[in-house]
Amino acid sequence: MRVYDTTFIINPQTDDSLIDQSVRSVADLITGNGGRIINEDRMGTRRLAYQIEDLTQGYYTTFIFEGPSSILPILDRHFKLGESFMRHLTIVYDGDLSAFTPKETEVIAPIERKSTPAPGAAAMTPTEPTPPASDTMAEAAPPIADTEVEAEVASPVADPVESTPAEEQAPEKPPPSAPAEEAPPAQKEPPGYDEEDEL
Amino acid sequence: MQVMRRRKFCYFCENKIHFVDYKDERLLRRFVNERGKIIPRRVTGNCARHQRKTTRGIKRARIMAIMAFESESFR
Repeated sequence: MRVYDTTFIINPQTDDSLIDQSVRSVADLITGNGGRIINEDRMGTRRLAYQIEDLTQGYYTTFIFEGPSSILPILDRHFKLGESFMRHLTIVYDGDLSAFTPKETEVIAPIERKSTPAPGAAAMTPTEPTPPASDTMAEAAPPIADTEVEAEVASPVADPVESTPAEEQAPEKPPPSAPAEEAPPAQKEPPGYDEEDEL
Repeated sequence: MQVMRRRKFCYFCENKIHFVDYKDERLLRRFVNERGKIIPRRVTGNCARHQRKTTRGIKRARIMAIMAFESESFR
């Protein structure tokens, strides 16, 4: 499948909704006939180099798409029959497509974590295995305690596995209350501002 | 009488531009004179390959009313 570039001019005196509808119709035509739109560029209203049908401005739109060659006569017919299309041009696109493809996230070295034990694990080991206070309590409590223990044991183990991938860059977040309290006072007055200066 | 030779390098080869986009009016205007006529490559210094691409781009831009076929000459 080849990559094509189609540009068309729409009468700017029509309503914005009609302009959008015309652009959408072209996009739907491309995707509906086996094409894949790589880039859509709405250049907006531009002054024409010469008058076309007594108009001095036109709404330019460009689609760069990939598709079979059978799309081209369908597209051409759509432009010719449409009343709002003033001019159109479809060419084979030879340019660089890397500007339109989404860039992969950069791989950055993982943050070295300190070897401090997880808070959950530290609190877990001495206290969580609840010693049975009485026989009746021991009979009722252990099943719940065991599941809680298992869940809490699982979570600190899971956290390092989830956070070690190199792509995740966010450091451990401080408690949510701390930044909210610290930020506003710093932004109240710019440095060097004195009320006395105004007076 | 010795005639100073103008620089003879291709703008596209120097800047490694492989694709000449007909929508790029700023770039194409460099290769068109005041009346809108395409400047020959013996003046611009383009290589044959890029002169053909430039010409094709200018003609497409003219069809799409991005550039004029003929502009008014300054008198």
